[in-house]
Amino acid sequence: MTSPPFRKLLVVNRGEIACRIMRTAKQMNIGTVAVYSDADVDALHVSIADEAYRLGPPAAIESYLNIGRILEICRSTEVDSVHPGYGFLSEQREFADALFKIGVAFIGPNSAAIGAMGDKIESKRIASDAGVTVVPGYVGAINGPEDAKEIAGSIGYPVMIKATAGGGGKGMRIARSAADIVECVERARSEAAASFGDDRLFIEKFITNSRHIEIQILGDKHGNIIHLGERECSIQRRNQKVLEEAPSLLLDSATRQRMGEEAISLARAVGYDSAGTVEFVVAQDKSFYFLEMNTRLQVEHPVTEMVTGLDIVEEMILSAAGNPLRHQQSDICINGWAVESRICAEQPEKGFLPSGGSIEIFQPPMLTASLSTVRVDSGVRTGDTITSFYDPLFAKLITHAATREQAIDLQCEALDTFAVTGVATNIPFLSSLMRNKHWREGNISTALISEDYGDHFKPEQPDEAELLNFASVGVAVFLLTQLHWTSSDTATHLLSVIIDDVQIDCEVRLEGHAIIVEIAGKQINVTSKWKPGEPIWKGQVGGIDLAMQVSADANEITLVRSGFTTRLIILTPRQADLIERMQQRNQPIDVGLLAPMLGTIIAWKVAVGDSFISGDVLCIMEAMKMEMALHAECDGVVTKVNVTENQTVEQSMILMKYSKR
Amino acid sequence: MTSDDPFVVIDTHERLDFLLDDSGWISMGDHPGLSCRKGTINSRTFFVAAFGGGGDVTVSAAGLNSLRHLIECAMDEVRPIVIIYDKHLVRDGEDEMSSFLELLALLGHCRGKVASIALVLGNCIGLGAVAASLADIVYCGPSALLSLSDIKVMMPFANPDNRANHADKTDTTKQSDRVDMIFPSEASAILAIRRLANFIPSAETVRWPNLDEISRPELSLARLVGKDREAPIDIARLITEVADDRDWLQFGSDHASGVVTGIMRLDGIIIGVIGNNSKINSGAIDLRGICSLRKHVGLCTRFDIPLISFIDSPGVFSEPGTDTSEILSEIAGLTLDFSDTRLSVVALVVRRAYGATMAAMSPLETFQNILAWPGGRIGLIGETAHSTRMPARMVQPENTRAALITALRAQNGAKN
Repeated sequence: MTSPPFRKLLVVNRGEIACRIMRTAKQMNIGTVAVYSDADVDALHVSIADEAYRLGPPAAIESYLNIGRILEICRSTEVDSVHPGYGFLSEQREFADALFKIGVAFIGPNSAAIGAMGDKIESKRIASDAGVTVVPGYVGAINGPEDAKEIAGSIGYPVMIKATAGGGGKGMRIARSAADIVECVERARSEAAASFGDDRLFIEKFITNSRHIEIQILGDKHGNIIHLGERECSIQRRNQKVLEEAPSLLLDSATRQRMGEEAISLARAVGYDSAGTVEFVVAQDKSFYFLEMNTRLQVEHPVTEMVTGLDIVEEMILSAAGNPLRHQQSDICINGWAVESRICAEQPEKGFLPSGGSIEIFQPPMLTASLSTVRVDSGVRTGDTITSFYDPLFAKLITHAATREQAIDLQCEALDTFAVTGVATNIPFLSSLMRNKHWREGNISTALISEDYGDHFKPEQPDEAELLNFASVGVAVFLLTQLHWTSSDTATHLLSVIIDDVQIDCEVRLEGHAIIVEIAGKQINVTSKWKPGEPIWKGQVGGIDLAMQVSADANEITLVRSGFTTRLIILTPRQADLIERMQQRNQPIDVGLLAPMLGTIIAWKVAVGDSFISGDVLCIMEAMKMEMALHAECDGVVTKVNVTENQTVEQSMILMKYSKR
Repeated sequence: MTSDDPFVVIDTHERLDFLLDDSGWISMGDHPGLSCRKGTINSRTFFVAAFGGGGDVTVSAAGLNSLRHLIECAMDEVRPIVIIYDKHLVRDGEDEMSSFLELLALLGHCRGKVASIALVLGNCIGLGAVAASLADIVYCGPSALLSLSDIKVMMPFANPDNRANHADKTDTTKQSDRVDMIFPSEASAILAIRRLANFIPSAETVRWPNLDEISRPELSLARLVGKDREAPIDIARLITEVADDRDWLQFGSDHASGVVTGIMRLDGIIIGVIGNNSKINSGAIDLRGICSLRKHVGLCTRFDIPLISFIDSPGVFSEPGTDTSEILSEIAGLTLDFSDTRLSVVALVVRRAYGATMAAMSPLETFQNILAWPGGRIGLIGETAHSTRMPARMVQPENTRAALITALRAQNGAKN
């Protein structure tokens, strides 16, 4: 066995990426050290590390960004290497320099390269000098709206106004005409100042209907640089990536080669010596322009690993140790297709508001033979808590297959059997995306989500066949959970299934191990080994294999599959006849607006006595580093406001009360 | 039983139709303002009755006699009783007064023999309120009002979400400690009784096949108590992970949020559950909590339902201004409740059982039936005094379900 390149590695990160880095470190026989904030004291990455040390309070600035404390831990634990993951300190030149000074290896590029690529204007200038195609624009900071108008006029509208220190979609505005310029400049400037402490802006041409494609590169300290092909990251929501795939359906081998060569050329220009990503905006005619370079490991690196067979974290560690690259460009082959979904704690049906709380069940897809190429990179387990302090991404689902269609089909299957309860997730939205016609055809752009879904995810209604499948499974679940049906039962039950306002009557009986459901003139046989309490129902419905998430609360059964979340009320036919009249008996009662998660109420938009209608903004809340509006879900009148502005609120706390109208 | 009262949108017959299975029932009396039936709920036999009809309909002595007959039949057959109370008047006559007093006596007499459930959907005043309060389990709809006259014992429903209620400290809603659950709609209240039917004792429901694995490991329980041992834990989640099919029925805790009470099935058997909610006063028990525990222990005692006590409490909490002698009296009463019965109790000390907690949560003579998670401690006067590792069997959190089943089986074997 060869000796490990480092003795002990400190991972200055949390969640799934910390776990993923430690996995490789352990495989390389490198000792692992975790750090944690008070919010993460019981987190998965802490428990899998060989050693773990407290950083400080939950706020990132006092914990994962606290360079002084991290250096202290480096010294006291005598680590010889640090991996920053992504986000936090991963692209902070000062951190890399500080580690260098105490003789600890930074698993990432040299600090000069980080510095050169950290400033968007400077990186664009370097790229241009290196012969990389850049987006037409002005290489320099703009002075103000009038200056911006003049530059935009010379480039041609639409233009993108961007923060020079930007990232994550912040400090970016699209101006489609001169009339937009003043507001775009002001808003981008104020957002940039608030987010990055640097309000400098620049302008470039906005490429419409474009795609986001990036090239993964690997470099070493001996001047060797190769690329590992591209990743297509066009499926984004508000500039945040949602799905990624490798390779890209758009690129032909010639374009791929040109993009790879330009990426290497840029990397060479800054003496790049680790894993990094050169991002391009690509027009549908395959013309491409340099966007920026990320000098770190990317969230979406697994899709590249799946198609190349390389472990990028391992390559980074070896490079940081001074080893020459083990592969030449000619060694790199792209095998099959890989797709990644980002599993986030958020509520797609409520405008993607972040969610939080305790994860009651976390059950990733079971790796059966048919799902042999499913990979889940996760940072949580059942019982863990998702807090409001950090990014809502808590797991990544990666599938790899021979073809794109197969990889997407695997995603569908895996998402249907990915159970997460206790915390709302975007799994139904991802499942819907996987079946989106444009996505499946590869007819995509960065605007796909906004054009096909808007700001809120409204699940489509299942068609009649799917509805009957749901109803049949719901009835089977009801019989097992509420009536505790066993194979000795011979009775036939008449039941009514209510889905929204639709009532479907059915007759149910047991024949051998099959539940026979006579419904809508059809006979549907349901067989399954599902037992009450299990989060995933798997079985056959009408001879077809189906899997879905299930939760049963007495007469209410919730089934989630294929992006549909279907709530069924199961009653006897007589109960179904009576329930509507019984609902009229309910007196109007005060209901509460609940805090979706831990956070701070920034501003109230309503006061006691105010009327509002469904969709109105009731208050603004800050959580997970984002400001979000809490909207009314119905018409009403405010009867009581329980919290003041700037007050911290816990999840499920009643923020205000109102009477429904 | 149709009414002219526009507020009453379904009558007593329809309510009973909604409550019972479609598979048929037998009328045991049909009177103005009162219907009585024998039928099935989830295929299990129940005796059910419904008052109602609004302010214009008066219940006669004959109606009350039918109800008495229904209760007597239920006692003969050892079947549970459900009585739905809604706005009604009992005729102001000597016969009616006599019948009602006999009815109350009978309701008292049937306690411990058959399980009785009251569902209050409208104004229930005077003797009707007393009758409802005699039930083992009292559920309420959104318009429920239990009142002796004009003094309200329980205000109308305000908020279905207990978690939210905990957060909304300013909520003025009061709930009588007689009431176990309040529901946001009449339909949900009646459906909840159908669900409850699977958990309450009856000649048919003592035990049913358990399809859930006995030694199902629950790895998440290993992390329920985190590194910060003082942080609140979710005791309801612990109970969920332990229960058959991960399903149990929690009774309302608005009036006693520091304790958790409920019913589950474990190993196919109906089991009573009590526990401390460390999210409220760190799990310390207050006067309301003790009263709630007494009520639940009483229910389990009457029907010989084994009890599992999930203890995680630093002691007893007395709110400023509270008469501590009242708390002491209730704890003493609870201790006697335990010692006066042969109730099977298994206690699990999750983290701590300090002060009078042990007396309130478990029979003192059953030290051999105490399980404890690693680090679980008993202390006479809290952590600072003689807290000690108890003479308890240590159980790893992930094996709690199997350990509790083994302990219950051993205890039942010893009893039998």
